[in-house]
Amino acid sequence: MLHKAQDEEDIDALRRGDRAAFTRLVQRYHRPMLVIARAIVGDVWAEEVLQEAWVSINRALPRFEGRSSLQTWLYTIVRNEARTRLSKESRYVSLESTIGSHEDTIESLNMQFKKDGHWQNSPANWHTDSPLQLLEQTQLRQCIDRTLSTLSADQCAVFTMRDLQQMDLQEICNILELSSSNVRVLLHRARLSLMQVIDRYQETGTC
Amino acid sequence: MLSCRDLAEKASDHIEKKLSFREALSYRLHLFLCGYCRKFVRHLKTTIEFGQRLPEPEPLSDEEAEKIAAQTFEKSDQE
Ligand SMILES: [Zn+2]
Repeated sequence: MLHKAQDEEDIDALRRGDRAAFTRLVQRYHRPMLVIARAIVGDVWAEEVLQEAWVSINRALPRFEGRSSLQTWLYTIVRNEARTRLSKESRYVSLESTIGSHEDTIESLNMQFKKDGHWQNSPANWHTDSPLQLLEQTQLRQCIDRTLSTLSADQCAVFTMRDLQQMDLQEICNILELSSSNVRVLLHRARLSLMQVIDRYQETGTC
Repeated sequence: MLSCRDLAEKASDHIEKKLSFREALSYRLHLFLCGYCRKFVRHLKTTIEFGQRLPEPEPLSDEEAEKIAAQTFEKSDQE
């Protein structure tokens, strides 16, 4: 949210090609853009794709009309660069086809149910339902960071955009070129992974 | 009738208001009758709010950002 205010403040300078404003833009958006690039091209090329994306962004900024938010515009350029790279490497794999290869979370959720679809046992009792109290637990935060880094790239991208950055679901679908139901599946799985970590933490005080 | 497993699968969709009217109705009916699922959904909502309040990825350091900006401007000048 803070990003948006800074974007607006900088937009004129960015259109003029102001270098300091551009550096601030890089500072704000490089990491989330990397998350998106990874979701599309994988780890190996993500950094390179970003270098190319920044050059395209720098070139296109004077023509940025503000019809979408700057954030969406940036993410769309990253998406396009990532796709171009994929087709160059002629190993084009659409994101759609990779969904379903990360069944672990769903598996372990499934194990909590009997054959007839009822819970095996009651979900564990939590000491606290307060997100704020949970956020204060340093050890839990470390456990969560570790879990986020093990999410599949597409889950991580969707989680980052939806829950961390609270972007509109439809915008996320457009950027990643995924159907709404696929985005929601990825989102739900990411959330379940986090929930499992909190569950374990509440029960054992560790992860 | 929705099973607990179905409900757990649909919980994010319900929270995101993406269920059809009928689906939402059977979802809420199940929730009304099932304490285990109510607990599950409460935990999921806590998890979501927790996630929303996590800090965004750390911004780059000044040096890192300047390096990338320098590379970008250099490349743009070449073209
Ligand atoms: Zn139930």
